[in-house]
Amino acid sequence: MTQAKSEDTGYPFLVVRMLLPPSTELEKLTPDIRKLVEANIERAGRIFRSRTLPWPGSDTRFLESLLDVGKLSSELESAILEGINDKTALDILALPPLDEIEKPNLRIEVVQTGSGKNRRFEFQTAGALLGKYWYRHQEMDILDAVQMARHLEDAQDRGESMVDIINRSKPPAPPRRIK
Amino acid sequence: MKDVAEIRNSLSGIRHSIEYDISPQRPRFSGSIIPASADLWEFDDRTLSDPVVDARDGEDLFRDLDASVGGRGIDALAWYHPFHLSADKWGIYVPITSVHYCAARWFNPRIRLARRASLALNVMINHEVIHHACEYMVAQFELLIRACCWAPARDRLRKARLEWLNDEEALANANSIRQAMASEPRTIVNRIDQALRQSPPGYRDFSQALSDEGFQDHILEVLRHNAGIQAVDLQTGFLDRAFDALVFFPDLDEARASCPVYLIDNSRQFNFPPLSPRLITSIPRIVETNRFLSMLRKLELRRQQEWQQMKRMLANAVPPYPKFKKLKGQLNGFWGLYLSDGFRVHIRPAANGIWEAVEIGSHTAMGHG
Repeated sequence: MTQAKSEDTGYPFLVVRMLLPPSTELEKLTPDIRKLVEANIERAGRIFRSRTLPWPGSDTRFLESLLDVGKLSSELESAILEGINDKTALDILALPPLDEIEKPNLRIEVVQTGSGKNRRFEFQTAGALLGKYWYRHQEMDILDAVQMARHLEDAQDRGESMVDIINRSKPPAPPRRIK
Repeated sequence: MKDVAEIRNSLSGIRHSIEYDISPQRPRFSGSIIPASADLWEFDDRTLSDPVVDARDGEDLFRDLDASVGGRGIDALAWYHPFHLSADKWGIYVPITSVHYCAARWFNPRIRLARRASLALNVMINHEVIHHACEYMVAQFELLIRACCWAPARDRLRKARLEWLNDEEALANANSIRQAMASEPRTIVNRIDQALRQSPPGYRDFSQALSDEGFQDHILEVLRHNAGIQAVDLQTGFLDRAFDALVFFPDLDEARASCPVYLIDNSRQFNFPPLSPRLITSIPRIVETNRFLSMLRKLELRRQQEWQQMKRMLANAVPPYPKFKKLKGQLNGFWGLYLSDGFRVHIRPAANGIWEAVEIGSHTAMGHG
């Protein structure tokens, strides 16, 4: 089951972040263990990046589906803990205990907004993220008008008829999702 | 790589993809613009015939550039103008003043100026060519999914009050280091490494992109930033583990050869040591070494005739990439001339504009593959 998609606002991305211990905690480790932990964290970071999309200026990223959270979290956990047997390191890397239903014991945090009964997962839609570049619109904006005027001038220079010019002067059809 | 004019023509059918001819940024001090391909530049030391009167102080400029580089990284010295913004002014722009700056600030002054200048130019070009390669990769994706990606990605950075994408700048600086590692001694690479660390965040984080895995990860992050939202919205399987997005990233040697480079000769008003950028447009005189002649005599007559024909052609013009290209690694300092059936000639510049033909043979006979 995937998230409900809106034809008007586009795909809803879940806002997530990876949970890691602060770097100050890693300073408690011996140099060789710290090096191993840092390498594992770097590898987990690459896995996290490969399965999510960046949100520049934010420490969060976009995930395709809520259903991916558990599986990706397990994958990240395996990468982070690979080859680690040192008790101090394991304690530092351990996830916070499962104490509330809203805070599952996962390596990925799903960002929430609101409070109390209004608390819910944060989504960002493709349409909102792309802003004026959102491609579902068919209305012309000022940039389209300027571009059309240039096309008209170029076409007239080529000696084309008004019918040809008008028929060609429509905004290109937006891409559609495969159904 | 596909021709950029063709790409632009196709992109013009995708809403908001192409802007109409926005000019590149201007250097602080203007000068004549010398266009060429990235591999065909060399620097010579030369004597100025007319000393500059009332010359500006180069050291003042260098101090200003120190501050600029601290705030904007290597893109304060050279810049890439995208083909999404211009049909005929896209490419890499490098002021000669920047070459002087890097030659003076980055490398040991005991190294000959022409050599330091060539090193500096290569570092800047190898950084900027990554911006071209990334733009090309994104453009290919735009054509595939028929959705504008490059412009909205820049817009999202602006909205986040960011001037650059950290991953792309780290990737670009990493490329400069990786290319230097392939052809220069460790001492030179260390100098470049130290210089590039004197940069803002993103630019200075290139160490994460030096390994092959890190380099690829950064390329993919650039693509995710530019095309990810649209690609996922259109249910293309972009984030599927089995999808290999790296196939969209062009070969960097080809990107370097195909990207126009504009040297801005703006140094005449300063009291810099003389430096002459020389473009390799033709090789009028080639001297064949004894070793070369010995190898040539062992080849079939048609190969020998092909070589004679190549020499005549070189007197007028060097062939385009990849038939003529700068070699790396153990063959650093050599250029390769590619004949038919995988046969190649290794040549190198000697003195006074004369080149030496050093080796000729098949791909495997020459130690490749």
